[in-house]
Amino acid sequence: MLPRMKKAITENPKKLSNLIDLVNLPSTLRDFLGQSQISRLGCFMRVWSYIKANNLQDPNNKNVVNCDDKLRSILLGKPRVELAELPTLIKLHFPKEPK
Amino acid sequence: MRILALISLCLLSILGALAVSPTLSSGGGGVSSLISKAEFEQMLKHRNDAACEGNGFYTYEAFIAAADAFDGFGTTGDNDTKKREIAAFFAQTSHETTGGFSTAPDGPYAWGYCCVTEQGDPPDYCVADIQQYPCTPVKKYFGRGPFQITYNYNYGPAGIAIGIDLLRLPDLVATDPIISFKTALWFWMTPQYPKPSCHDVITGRWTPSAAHLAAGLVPGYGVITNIINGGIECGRGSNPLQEDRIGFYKRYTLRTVPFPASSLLKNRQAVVQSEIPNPLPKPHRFPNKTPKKNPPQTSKLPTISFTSPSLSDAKTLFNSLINSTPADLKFHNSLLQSYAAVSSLDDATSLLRHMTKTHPAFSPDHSTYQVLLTKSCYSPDPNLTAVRKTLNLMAAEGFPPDKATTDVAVRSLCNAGRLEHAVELVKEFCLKNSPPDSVTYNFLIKHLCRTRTVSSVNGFIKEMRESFAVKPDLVSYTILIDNVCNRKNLREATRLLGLLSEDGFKPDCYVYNIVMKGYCMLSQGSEVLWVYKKMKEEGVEPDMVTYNTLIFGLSKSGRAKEARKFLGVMAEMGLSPDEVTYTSLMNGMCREGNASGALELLEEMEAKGCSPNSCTYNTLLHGLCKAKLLGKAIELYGVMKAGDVKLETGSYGTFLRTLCRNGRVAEAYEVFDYAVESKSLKDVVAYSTLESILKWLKKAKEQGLAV
Repeated sequence: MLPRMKKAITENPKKLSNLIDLVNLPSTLRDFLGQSQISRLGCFMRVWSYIKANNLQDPNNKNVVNCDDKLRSILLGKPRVELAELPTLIKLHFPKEPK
Repeated sequence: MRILALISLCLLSILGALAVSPTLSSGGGGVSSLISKAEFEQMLKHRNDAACEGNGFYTYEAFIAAADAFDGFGTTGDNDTKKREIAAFFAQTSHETTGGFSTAPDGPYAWGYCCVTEQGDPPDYCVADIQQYPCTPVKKYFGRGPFQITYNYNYGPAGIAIGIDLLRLPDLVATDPIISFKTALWFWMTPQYPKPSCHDVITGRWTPSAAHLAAGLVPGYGVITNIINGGIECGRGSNPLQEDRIGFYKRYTLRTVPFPASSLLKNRQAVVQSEIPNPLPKPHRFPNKTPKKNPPQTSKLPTISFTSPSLSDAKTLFNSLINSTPADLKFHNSLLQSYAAVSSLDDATSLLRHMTKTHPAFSPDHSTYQVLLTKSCYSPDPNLTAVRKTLNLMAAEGFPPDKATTDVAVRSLCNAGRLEHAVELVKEFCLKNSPPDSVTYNFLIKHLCRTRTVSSVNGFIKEMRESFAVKPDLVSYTILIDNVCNRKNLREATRLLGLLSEDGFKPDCYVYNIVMKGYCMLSQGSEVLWVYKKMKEEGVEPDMVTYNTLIFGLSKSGRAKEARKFLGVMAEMGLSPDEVTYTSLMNGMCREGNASGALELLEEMEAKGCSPNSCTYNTLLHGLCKAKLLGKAIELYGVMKAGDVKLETGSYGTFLRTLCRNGRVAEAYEVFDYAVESKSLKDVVAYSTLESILKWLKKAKEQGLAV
C-alpha cells in the first residue's frame, strides 16, 4: 500500500490563517511596506520582490542578499542575509502560530 | 514515496477517464490526445469508400492541424466535457456530410464525411445586399466541407477568422482539407447571434437567458442543432433529420452517452421544438436534404418569462395573451415551465387548470404534465405526496404512467437527491405495470452505486428481478463492476462477472478494461496480465484503453520491462501509443530508478510525433531529481518553462528540495516564482512548501547532513 499523503496546507485552517490573515504591523514594517496591515505571505512576497527589483542578491553568490538600509531595518539590522533564512526572519514580525 | 503516490494518482485519474470512454481516449494536451487516428478511422469508417465524393479528402492529420489552431476546442473543461465536445462536433458534421442510408453497410451512422460539396445543381447562395461580405462574380457559395458552410455571409467571416480570402476563393473549402476543417471549427466556436456558440453550449459555458428559457432552450445537444439549422429543423417535433443527428451522436459516444440520455430526451420533447426569434433570418442552410422553405411561422411567438410567484399576476398575464396567441402546445408548455420555475407546485397546477379553462383550444399533453411532474419531484417533500398527487392528476386526465413518465420522475428524483423516493416510486410503477426501461433502470443503479453499499445495491437488484422481473443488462453489470472495482472489491467484481455470464451476456472490451483498471489500483501486475490473456482467449480485441491500462498496471507493479514490450505489441495491432502510454511507462522506469532510460523514452516518443503533456514532464522531473540527475532536471525544467508547462505539487516539492540540498537556494526561489506566476499551485501551497523545505534544510545542515 502507498503511504498516506500528508495533508495539504489548504486543509489545515490554523496554518492557513497564520499565512493569509491580515496582521497589524509594527512600526518598522509599516515604514518599509507603506501600509499598516498585511498577511505573512503578502509580506514575504513584497520583501522578495523588493530584493529582486533592487538587485540586492550578491552577484557572486545569488544565495546571499546584501541588504540596503531599508531592508536592514526589518531584518534584525543584518548587512548580509542568506535567502534560506528569509522566511524565518520575516516570521519574527508576526504572531506565533497558536498551538 | 509520498510524491510517487501523487504522480501515480495523476496518472490514475487520466486512466480513469480513459476507461470511461471506449470511443475517445484522452490524456490532457491537444486534441490528438483525445482522439487517436485509429478511433477517427473507426468513427468515420466508410468516408473513403469509392462511392464517396470525399474519398481520401478528410484526413486525421488535417483535422488535428485545424483543431490545434482553435484555442479551446476539445481542450475546455474536464475530460468528459472534452470528449463530449469532440463527439458532438463529429456527430453534427457527419450528419451534414453523410452518405448513409438505412440499409447501408454497418448502418447509416458509419457513413459520415462521405460528401464534400453540395450535390445537384446548387445556386450561388449570394445575398448581395450584405455589403460587408461582397460576392465575387462567377463564384458560388454553396455548401462545402464538414459543416457544409453556405452563403457569402458565412464564407466572409469564416475567411477573416482563418486568414484566407474565402469570398474570392470559396473552392478552397472543398480542395484543402485543413481549410475545410477550419471553416467547420470556426462555425463551431463562433457565437451565431443571437444564439450562443456550439462550443459554449457543449462545454457548459452558456447560461440561457430568460428569453432563451422561455423559448424552451436549455443547455443540451438539441440547442446545437438549433444553432446550426434552427430555422429549418426545429419547431416541428421529432423528425428524421433530428433523429439522424442524434443517431450519429449516440454512435460516437457509444454506451457511455456523456450527455445524459435525459438531455437527448428533453431535446425531443421541448427544446428542439422551439426557436429563438431571430432578428436576422440567417439559417445556416444545408443542401440536398430540405427544400428551400421559410422558417416555420410558429416560431414567431413572443417570449414570456415569469418573475413573480403570484398566481393572480400569472393569470392576468395569461389572459392578456389569449387573443394574440394560437393554441400552440410548445408555447403553452414553455409558459407553464417558466411559471413553475418561480411558483409553488399548487400554483403551477392552478395555472394549468386556468389555461385549459380559459383557452379551450389548448389541450395539454404528456409533455405539459411532465413539467408539473418534474416540479413535484424537485419540491422538498418528506414523502411522495406531491408526486403522487401529480401522477393521479395525470391519470385522471387520461395519461396513466408510462415509460416516459417513469423516466422523468426517476431522473428528477435522483437529481434532487431523493434516492429513497426514486426507489419507492420505481417499485410502485412496477406494480402499475409500468416498469422502468433499461436506460432509466441503469440511471437509477448508477445513482444508487454512488451512495449505497454494495450489498444494498445488490439487494435492490435482486428484489427487482424476483418481484418484478426487471433484469439487469450488460450496461447494468458494467456499472456494478465499475463501482466495485473503484472500491477495490475485486472479489465482488469476479462474482459479478460470473453472474453476467449466467445471465447469458458476454463481457466486452469495456468490461475487461474496468476489471483490469481495478487490479491496476491494487498494483497486482500478474492479475492485470491475467485479464489481458483472458481477453485474448475469449476473442475480445483489446483497444487503446486496454493497452494503456495494461502498461500502467505493469509499470505500477514494478514490471516496467514487461510493460515496455507491449509498445511493440501495440504497433503490431496498428495502435500508436499516446502520451498516456509513454507517461505510464516513464513513471514505471523512474520508480525502478531508471530515470535516464525514461529520458530516452521522451526522445523516442517525440520522434514518433507524440507530444508530451504536463504529466509526462512532471513525472520525468520528479524521476530525474530522485535519481540525483539535477543537471538533467534543470535542463528539463527549462524546457517546461519555455513551453508554459505547469508544475505539479509533487514534482515541485521534489525539485525544490533537490535544488536546496545542492546549495542552489536562489534557483529554488526562481522556481517558486515560476510556480506562482504560471499559477501551477496556489500561492500558499507554493510558499509553505518552500518554507518547510528551508526549515528542513537548516535542521539538516545543523546535523551535518546536507551539502
